[in-house]
Order: sequence, then structure tokens, then C-alpha cells
Amino acid sequence: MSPLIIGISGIAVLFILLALRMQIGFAMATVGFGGFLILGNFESALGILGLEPFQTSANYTLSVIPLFMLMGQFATHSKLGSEIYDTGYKWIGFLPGGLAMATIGACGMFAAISGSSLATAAMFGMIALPEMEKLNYSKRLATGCIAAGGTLGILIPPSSVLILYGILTEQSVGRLFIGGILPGILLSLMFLVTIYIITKIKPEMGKPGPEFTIKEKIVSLKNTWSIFLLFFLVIGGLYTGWFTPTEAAGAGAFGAFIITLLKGRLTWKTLMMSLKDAASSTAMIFGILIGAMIFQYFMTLSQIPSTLASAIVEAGFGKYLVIAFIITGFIILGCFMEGLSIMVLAVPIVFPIVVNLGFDPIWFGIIITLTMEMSLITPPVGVNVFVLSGVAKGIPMSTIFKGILPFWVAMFICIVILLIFPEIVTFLPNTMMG
Amino acid sequence: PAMAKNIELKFAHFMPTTHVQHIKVFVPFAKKVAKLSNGKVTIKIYPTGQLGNPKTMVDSIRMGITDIGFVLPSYVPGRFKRSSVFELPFVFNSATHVTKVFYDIYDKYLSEDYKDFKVLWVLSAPLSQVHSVSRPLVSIADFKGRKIRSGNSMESKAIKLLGGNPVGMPISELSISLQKGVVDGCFTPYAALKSYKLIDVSKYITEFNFSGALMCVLMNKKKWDSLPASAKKVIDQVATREFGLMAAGAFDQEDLENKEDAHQRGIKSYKLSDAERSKIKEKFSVFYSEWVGKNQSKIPAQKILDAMLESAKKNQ
Amino acid sequence: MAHFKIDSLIENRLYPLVKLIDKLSWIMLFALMTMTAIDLFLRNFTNTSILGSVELTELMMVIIVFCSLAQCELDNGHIRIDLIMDHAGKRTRAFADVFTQALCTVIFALMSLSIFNHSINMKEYGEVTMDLNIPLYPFIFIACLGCVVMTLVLFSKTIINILKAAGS
Ligand code: NA
Ligand code: NA
Repeated sequence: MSPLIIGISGIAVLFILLALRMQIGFAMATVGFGGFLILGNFESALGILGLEPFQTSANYTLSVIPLFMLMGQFATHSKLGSEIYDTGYKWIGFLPGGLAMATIGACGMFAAISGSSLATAAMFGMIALPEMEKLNYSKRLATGCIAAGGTLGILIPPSSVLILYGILTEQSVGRLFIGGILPGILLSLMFLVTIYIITKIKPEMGKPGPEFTIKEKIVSLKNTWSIFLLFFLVIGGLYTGWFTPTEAAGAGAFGAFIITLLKGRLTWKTLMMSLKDAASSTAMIFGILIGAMIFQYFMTLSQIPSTLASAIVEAGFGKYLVIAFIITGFIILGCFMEGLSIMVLAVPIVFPIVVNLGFDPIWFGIIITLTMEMSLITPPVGVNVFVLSGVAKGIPMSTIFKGILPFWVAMFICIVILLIFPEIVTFLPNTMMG
Repeated sequence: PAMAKNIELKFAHFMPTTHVQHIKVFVPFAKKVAKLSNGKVTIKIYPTGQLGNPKTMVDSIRMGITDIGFVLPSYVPGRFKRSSVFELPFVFNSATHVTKVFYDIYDKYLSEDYKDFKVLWVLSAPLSQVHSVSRPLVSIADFKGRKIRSGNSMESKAIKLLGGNPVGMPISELSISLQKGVVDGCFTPYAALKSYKLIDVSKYITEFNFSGALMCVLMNKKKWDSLPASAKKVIDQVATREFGLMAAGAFDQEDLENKEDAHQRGIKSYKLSDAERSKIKEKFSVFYSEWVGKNQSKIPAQKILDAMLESAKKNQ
Repeated sequence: MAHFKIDSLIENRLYPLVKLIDKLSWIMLFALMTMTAIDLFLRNFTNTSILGSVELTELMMVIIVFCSLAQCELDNGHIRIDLIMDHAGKRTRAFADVFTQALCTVIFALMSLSIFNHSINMKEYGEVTMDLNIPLYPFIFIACLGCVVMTLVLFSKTIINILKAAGS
């Protein structure tokens, strides 16, 4: 049997295990181990099981995951989330789908301090979901907008995916970050439009709340000092050079801890609960990450990504057809795999092709990041959705996947817009950095 | 002698495919081996850390996850104790220089470090220089109170000895940290300017020639032993000392080209004055005795150090 | 009779152990947050910093992740896809659970074994961290302990599932 066939069979087995309700990360680890066993040997397959779990966890930049989780927990327990949603509710809650729009806006704001989509989705799963449930939002719209809003975390800088892309392709991370700003704003606006359209067609999915007086609106702002303080601490610290993007997570968590303390809402019990829940979310995310890393070794040996890439080149099509094939390929891979693994496997192969065709490398980085965002929410392996359903107890995953669909379409349209108008990406880096 | 069947070997590294070692060394290695074996031995390259990152690569090779791999001994401190003598500062002047000395003393002093592997070739990265953003760091006085990024204990110690404040961070965050002023400077060779995006932010470079970084291409020993004699012969014919020197030369060349690019972008280079260099060298002398003290219970540290220093003088 | 023994063994021995190491994970998380904050304060206001904060973070991460894996599993926190089995019968579900949890037990047993080997090897090689030269093997051993406890939890779940499948 050729490695390719073994690879495809492996993916099939993964699907069966997932359908049988096996834990996702562990199913990926099992198939990855089994596949490497067949393509390599027992000693090396066992070796991966010994090396990867430790290496994946002993990772400095991934420390943003537990720390932003903890920040989210403190923010929840000190009722920061409820307060900002109360304010959002009073200001735009009267619009159809207003709170979902506020969520997208908040996700976009949070994305500007977080490089991780998982952390963004998990945090707003904790903060925004209960608030939307209180207003009797449809579960589909509520979870869909959080899962989609969470993906903004890797498009709006800082972004772990753009850093990795920059290192893999030797592009300036600064340019990539600046290149992500306009598309990030564009995609956020498109999400807002999506919510507007959804609630226009089916008003019962996001019922408008009552309208408030100007005075009530202004008064509601006084509760928001803490979240703005936190926001300016993290953003300000990052942009004034007090700390690095990774350290921002620690500063944010500590800031949220102090704010909770100052508000008199920190009890021994809330502290323990916050730590327990943050640790549990961390374990869940790393369970998936470790599995994805082990699975990636198997995919590498199976040659599936490289075969796919060379098939595209050999077909000898025109420039736009090739890029369409590549984007489609990434979206398909994105169904089964975790975004960073796809990036590591496929970008080194397709990047030279794309640059040879005359596409801008910064533009391609943003396009790839958009497909990575899609991969986070496409079934069956949609990591953001998994994380969210871990936080949103009692909401079936199928509901979230259904809720995602309109936002997925918005992302797809966003890619098409960027294909037609690449200047949306290249304008800022070219004017600001020459 | 004809080989019975075709052999495919996995060769893993963790650099991008645009890296000078990938283009000028690894790919030519694979091509030469294929040619000399009439296509019987093929080497498939797995770039960008697909089969192991800088920390896991050495175990990846040992466990057979990859057959051949590119290893940076300084990333796994304690593993290659004898070879860590090459991390000592102020000894060398180029990657080629380091590599010559390595091969010179390998048989007698270093081979024990590599007993679990088949060594294909060895080289060094170009020497690290001191980069800074706010102002040039050309004397000990300039270092006072400066925040400098440190990548290992040797650099941390050096920064402290010079009166600065070592700050730890992954190299991926270095560029943005220099830009934002989280740190004022760092130690890195010219050759790394582009790969870590430092060329956009660095302003002044002082040519310290601080230290090189040993790199080696190792093969799984069991896999090597299992190869037919004819295949071994072909690989030994290609992976020689000369090949290692060629790889180091490619790195030195890359260093030079990056330096020219840097100057074109307005980055200024400075040299240490002789007086300042000898002052710093005196401060750094503690490194040598400490290295011997730390290692002498496990390896003949003093002998290795002496041999390295003598060979370095001879091969200057 | 045997049924009772296993139940009490799981409840009285295993669960407290899982809880204990989970608390270690909380303490490390709090310590990580505090260390980062202190490091930032020192660097920005006193121009000193905690030497080796990067590698200390990495070592703390190992404890945070591996000591909370098992508690997360007990709380059913590791994500699964319910799409298809939601439509299956009780008996089919029970058998599927036995199968997948047995598979998980095997993979975590292998993982524990391999991480243990890795820890022993690292002790022999003497690999240390880059800046503070802290030996790595004790932390790999902690990862191994976390995996062993996880294996026990998965094994206990498999047994409980077998009892369920047999009973249904
Ligand atoms: Na972001
Ligand atoms: Na997906």
C-alpha cells in the first residue's frame, strides 16, 4: 500500500472514531500513532508519543492559553462580562440581533490583544453566551457569532498564525500584522451585516430589547471603567513596549485579578473556581493540540499535503485557477485538520508556487489566515466549535455548526473580495512601511 | 556492487525552504547521493520542523522518527557536553574557522559526544554580533542598564558582566520587542537579520564576533548500520569534512550578503576598539574557568579547552 | 461483590488523587500569572528581571497541562462529537463507549510508558534548560505521572462502561 492510501485510510478511521464519540484529541493521537506505526516502525511511533506531549506543553508562546483563560475567568467572576453586555444591551440592544453585534465588536476588540482564536472563543463563550441566553437569543445565532467572532483573534494582530507564516516564508511579521488590520475590520463588518441579514429574515432569532433613554445609556457607561482599564492595560502595555505579546496575557490575567479584588468580588471560592475552570479549559485545549501534533507526523509521512500541492502545479492552469485550487485545498484540509498543522505542512510547499505566479506574499499570508479561520469552524474538526461547546454546556455541537454556516459564507465572500481587491491587504503595509 | 533495492532516507530540518542551508547544502547533498548511487539511494527532505523542532530533533533521530536530521547542540544544553566548548565567547572569527577547529580536534576530544549517532557533517552558524536600536553599544559603559535579549546562559552571563540587564524571550518575539523598545538589543549574526525580521528594526551593529553556534547533520545509528556497504560508501563519499566546510562557507557568504543588505538599508556597523576588546576579553575570561569547573567531573574539560584554543590559534 | 470493590476503589483512592494533582495545576497557574506580573514590574520599574522567566514559564506549563488532564476527563471536559451517537440506541452507545475508552486507555498507557522512557533517557543525557541549567527529567517525570493518572481514569471509565454495557 502506498503512503497516500494509508494516509487516506487513516483519515477515514479518524472519522469513524470521532463518530463513535471518542475524545477528539485522543482520536487524533491514536490515528497518528497507528499511522506512523504502519509507515515507520514501532520504536519511532512510540517515540513520538513520548516527545510531543511534553514538547507541546513546554511551550512559552502557548502560555497565553491558560493565562487568557484565567483572565476570562476573573472577568466573568468579577461580572465584567455582564457589565459590558449590560452597556452593549442598553446602547444597541434595541436593534434586531444587537447583542450578537456587540459580541462581534467585543471579539474584535479582544482579538486586538489576543493572538489566539481558541482563547477568544472560549472567553466570549463564558462571557457573552449567558448574556445572550438571558435575552432568549436563538442558540444557533448566539453560539455561531461567538465561534465566528473568535476566529478574528488570528486575523486582527497580534496573531500567532501570522507570526508562524512570517517565519515559515521569511516575510516581515510587522508587514503581515499591518496587512491584517483592514481585512480584520472588513470581516468584522461583514459579520455585523450577516447578523443584520439573519435577524431581518428571522427576527425571532435575535429579538430586539427595549429602548433606553440617553440618561440610562450614559449611566450604564460608568460600569465599564474596569473593562476599559483592562483593555488599555493590555493594549497600552503592548504598544508602549512594557511587555511582549506573550507577556500581555500574564499582565491581563493579573490586571483582571486586581480588578476583581478592587471590586470586592474576590472570595476564596471565586479564586479557586477561576483557577479550576482555567486549568480545565487549558487541559481540554492541550488535549486537542497534543493530538493534532501527533497526527501531523502521520500526515507528513503520508505525503497527502505535498501530493495535493504537486497535483495542483502539474495541472498547468492559469494564475487565478491555481489560487482557487489552493484555497479550496486549504479549506478541504481545514475540515480535518487543525490550522497550525496545515500551515506547517502545506505553506512551505505552495508558497513558492504562489510567489512564482506573481501574487503578493503578504496578501497570500492574509488569505491563508482567512482559510485557517474557516478551518477552525468547519465540521467535523472545527477546533473553535469544540472549545465553545466545552464552555457552552448543554448546547449540542450540531447546533453550533448550523449557527456557523452564515458566518462561514461571510468569510468566503471576504476571501473573494480580497482576491478582487488585493489592495485592501497591501495598501497599509506599502504606505506605512514603504 | 549493485544494491538489491532502492533505499529512501528521511532528512529532517526545521528551517524554511528558503534557508541558505536548505538551498546550498541539503538539496545538493540529496542530489549528489542520488547521482553517485545511480538513483538507488534517494534522500527525501522534510523541512520546517515537520519531523522535529530544534528541541526534539536529536531524539527524533535517535528514535528513528527521521533517519537524518539537522541538530543544534546549543539548543539541548547538557547533551553534547564536550562540544559545548564551542559556545565560549571571543575565540573565533568566522563559521569556517569554528568548523575547521571542530574537525581538527574531533577524533581525539569530541567523538564521544556523538557515539549514539553517525555524524555526516558539522558546521557552525556565523558569529553573533551585538544589535541595538537606541544607540550603538561599542563600549562597556554603553551597556550599563541596557535591556538586552538573551537566548542562553552564556549570553545572559555576558550581558550581566557588561553591566546590562538580560531579558529572556523567544526569538520569534524579538523583532516586535526591539521595535517597541521592550529590549534595546540582542546577540545574533548578520545572517539571521532577514530570517527573524530584524533587518526592519535593527539600527546599529557592533562586530563583537561573540560566539558561533555548532550545527551538525546526524544520522540514526541503527539505520546507518542496516545500510548495504555500497550505500554507506556513497554517503561517506559525499558527507565529508570538505562538505562541512563548504556548508560553513555558504553560511559565511550569507552573512556577508546580509551585512551588505543591512548597510544599504542604513544600518550602521561598528568595530570594537582594541582597548575595549581587551577590556571585555578580560571580563569574559571567567567563562573559560567556569566552563572547566562545571564540566571537569564528567569530561577532561581542561584538555578539551586547551586543544580548542590551540587549534583556534593555528587555524586563524 | 467485585462491582462494589471497584467502585469504592475508584471513588476512595483514584478521585482524591486526581483532585490532588489538579490542585497542583491551579497553584502553578496562579504562580505563572504572579511571576509574569512581577517580572514585568521589575523590568519596567527597577530595570532588573527574573532570569530564565521563559524557561520557568515552560516548566510551569508542563505542570499546568499534565496535572489537570485527568480532572478534565473526570468532568467530561475533553471534547467529543455527539452528532452521530446522539441518534444511536443505548446499547450501541454503551458498546461504542467501551471501545473508544479502551482505545484511549491503551494510547495513554503507551504515552505514559514512552514519556517515562524519555524521562529516564533525559536523566542519563543530563539535558538542562538553556538559561538556568535546570535538569529537565524531573519535569518530564511529572508529565509521565499526569499521564499515568489519566490512564487510570480512562481505565476506570472503561470498566464502568463495561458494567453499563453488560447491564443494559
Ligand atoms: Na489577534
Ligand atoms: Na475544520
